[in-house]
Amino acid sequence: MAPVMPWFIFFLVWCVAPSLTETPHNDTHLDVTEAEEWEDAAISLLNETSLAEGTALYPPNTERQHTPLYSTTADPGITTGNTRELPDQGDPLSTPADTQGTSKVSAVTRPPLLVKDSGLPVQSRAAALPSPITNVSSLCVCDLLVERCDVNCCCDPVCTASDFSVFSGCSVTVVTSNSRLCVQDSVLYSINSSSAIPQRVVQNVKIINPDVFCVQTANYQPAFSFITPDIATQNNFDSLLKEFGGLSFNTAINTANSVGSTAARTASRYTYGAAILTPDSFFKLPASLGTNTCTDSNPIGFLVSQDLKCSRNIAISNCSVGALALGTYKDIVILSVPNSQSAVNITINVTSITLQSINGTLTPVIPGEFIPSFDEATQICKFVALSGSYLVTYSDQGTITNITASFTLGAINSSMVPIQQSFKIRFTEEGKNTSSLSGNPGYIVGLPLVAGFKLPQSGIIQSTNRFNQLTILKSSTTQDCLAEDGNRATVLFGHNMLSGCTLRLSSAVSHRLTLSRRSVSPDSSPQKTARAQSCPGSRYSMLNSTCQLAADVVLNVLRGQQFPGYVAMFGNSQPENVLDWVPITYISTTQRAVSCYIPVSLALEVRWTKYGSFINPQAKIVNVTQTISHVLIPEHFYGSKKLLQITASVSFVDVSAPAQPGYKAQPTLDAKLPFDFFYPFV
Amino acid sequence: MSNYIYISINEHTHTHTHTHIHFIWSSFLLSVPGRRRRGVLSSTPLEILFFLNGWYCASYFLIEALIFLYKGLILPYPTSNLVLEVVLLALYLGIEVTRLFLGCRGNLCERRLPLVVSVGLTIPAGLLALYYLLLQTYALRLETVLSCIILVFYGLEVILSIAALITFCREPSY
Repeated sequence: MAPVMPWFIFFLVWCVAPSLTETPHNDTHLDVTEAEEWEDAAISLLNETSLAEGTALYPPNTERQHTPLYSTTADPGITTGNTRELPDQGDPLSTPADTQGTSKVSAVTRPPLLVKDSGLPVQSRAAALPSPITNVSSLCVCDLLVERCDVNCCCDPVCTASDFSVFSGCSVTVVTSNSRLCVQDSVLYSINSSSAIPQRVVQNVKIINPDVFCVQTANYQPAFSFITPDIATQNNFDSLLKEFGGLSFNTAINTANSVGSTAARTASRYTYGAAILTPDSFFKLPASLGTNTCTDSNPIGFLVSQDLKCSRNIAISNCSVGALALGTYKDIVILSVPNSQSAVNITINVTSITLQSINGTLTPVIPGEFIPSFDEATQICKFVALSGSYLVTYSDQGTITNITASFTLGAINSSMVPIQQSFKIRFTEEGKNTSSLSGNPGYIVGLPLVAGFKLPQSGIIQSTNRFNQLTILKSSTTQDCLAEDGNRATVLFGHNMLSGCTLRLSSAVSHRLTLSRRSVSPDSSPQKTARAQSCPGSRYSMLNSTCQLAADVVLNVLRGQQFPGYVAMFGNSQPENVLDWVPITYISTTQRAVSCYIPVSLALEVRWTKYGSFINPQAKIVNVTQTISHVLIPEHFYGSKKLLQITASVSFVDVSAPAQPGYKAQPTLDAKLPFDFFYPFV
Repeated sequence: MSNYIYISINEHTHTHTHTHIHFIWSSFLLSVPGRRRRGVLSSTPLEILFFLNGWYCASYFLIEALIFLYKGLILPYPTSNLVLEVVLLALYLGIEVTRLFLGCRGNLCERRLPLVVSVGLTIPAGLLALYYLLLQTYALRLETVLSCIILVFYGLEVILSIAALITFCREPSY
């Protein structure tokens, strides 16, 4: 056996070597003698090329592939020569003049090459769809502008020789076919700047992929391209319509969340947004849908708090309809869990019923059965369900444990048609004390700022009404500052606000100011008021006291009765944690001099920052500044009737720093040997 | 069969070399036309080729199986094509094993029929090799090389098998 092995190895080498260095013969359509001639010519030409350009682009075995013999009859563009200069002969748009110019230019450098150039027929394709471009010489990724020459785009068919002469280089130097193939058709573009006029050089080459696993022969034509869609014809129209005719290509419709489906009824618990079910249907309340008119089939989602309001056009004489009856909204049985096997039916627990008279007075009655009835004599329909409020108690397992409701029944006459019905539903977890937050933890845009006072040695004291904790002046139609008492607007997070009123200053207003002063703030500085009244003869003191009165009144109008001293950093800051609250910084421009200064504007600036992770940032208030600007009122001002514009504003400023990357700390390995590890020996 | 005959003759002559009668007998045997002493007719190069081809065949199918795994993962394949090619590969393996077994046996036993069947089986095997060389969905360069080698094996084996067949036909068999 041993003497045979060298022969076998030689034999293997003999077999493998040609297939590595040559393309398989199935690619060539020329006979051997012709191929050899062409190959010789090509090698000599390539030597010229590499000498002329100073660069050898490919190893010698690769350059052997540059010969025209590889081009197939299917693509006449490549047969024109391996090295060409200027406009693409494969391009159907190139004119004969272009070709002549090209020949001229390249004739100077490489005369033998252009012998093979010829005007080529453009194959016309009569197809309904544009055929995909598979010829690499007509592919151009940098051709971005239509009918324009893109700068430094050497494959742009619109560019002319004069354009190429001013190019600094080629942005795309090589266009290659699929990189998995062993032999890749490719076009090399370059600018020959060594000549007097820089010219574009185009080379059609075959790049040999050295990979053993490259695809030598690909017989599956649609392999490396997208599938051409079918053209609809008379024969295949029905099948195409069946496949693509629907609203979506996915035939399996997701019915898991749809209301009343079997999937919804087999769930073991309610999830957020799932329709609350009744034994035969689902819990529904009237709601406006598109128009103001009530639609009766609006499902109520679990944990989705809603305020529904809609109007109903009814005939007053026929008001005993179900939509107006209390029983429709009261006698509802609800499944505590969607799964009907283990369902416990829950009836609605009516806590209160209020009767509303025709003129709007409300009277609570004992809950019971009320049926709307029309009184012929008075033309009034009584006991019409006007509003309802539901409170759903749920457990943390997603089961509904209780529903309480309160209703308002009203009397209506024909002048009140269309009547308006409003329903409200809220959800509260069982055993949890519910308190509304302005965010958890960060503030949510549109919710009121949490604010309060701080007394020494105590936590923050807040008003129970969260819409009354931080307020500013509210504009009214009268624009009279002295009439604005108690008319306040809640400061909502993220909402910049501007409001104002007008203070009419005149000597005649002094008395009114005094009265207003007394009524508005009876607790502050009664001495000044007393002094102003005690010395009516002294002009200075009178003016001064008037000024003081005006200043105090305006300040009261701007700041309200109780201006808080602290604002919560987060929407859920607890009053016990004083460190979670920021004090409101007070900046005043007043100069307590003899002249009269009156505050004219209050600017509340809330600086907030995004806090926490980049994915889910939380709004955190870092600083609140209250700036009160004063204006000097000249002495002669009091005599004339002057208007003073008072403004209040709230602005929210995002002062977030750029996000910093944060990484978890590397875990440290705390590996210690026990102290008696070497016990028997040491 | 012929080996046994050959050995028995040899022993016969050896044990009775010094016996005159037997010497005459053996010379008489050899002198009779059609009953002259004959050598080994089996072809040693053919046997070597079959041996190498057996090892090559095993590695070829192992590599092809891995290549199909690779191609199936990497390249877009219509399922029907992939199934067809894998089934053809299994068929090819069966043909190749049968062919080698029969060829080897026919050559060693100097029997014509197994060798003829082996040569006949070379035709479908060669066609399958050509399929994997040229016509399959994607032919990798590695596959091209492997198929070329196996085709060279086939060519040499066919030539040597035919030569061996001619030898067998020329020599009479007992």
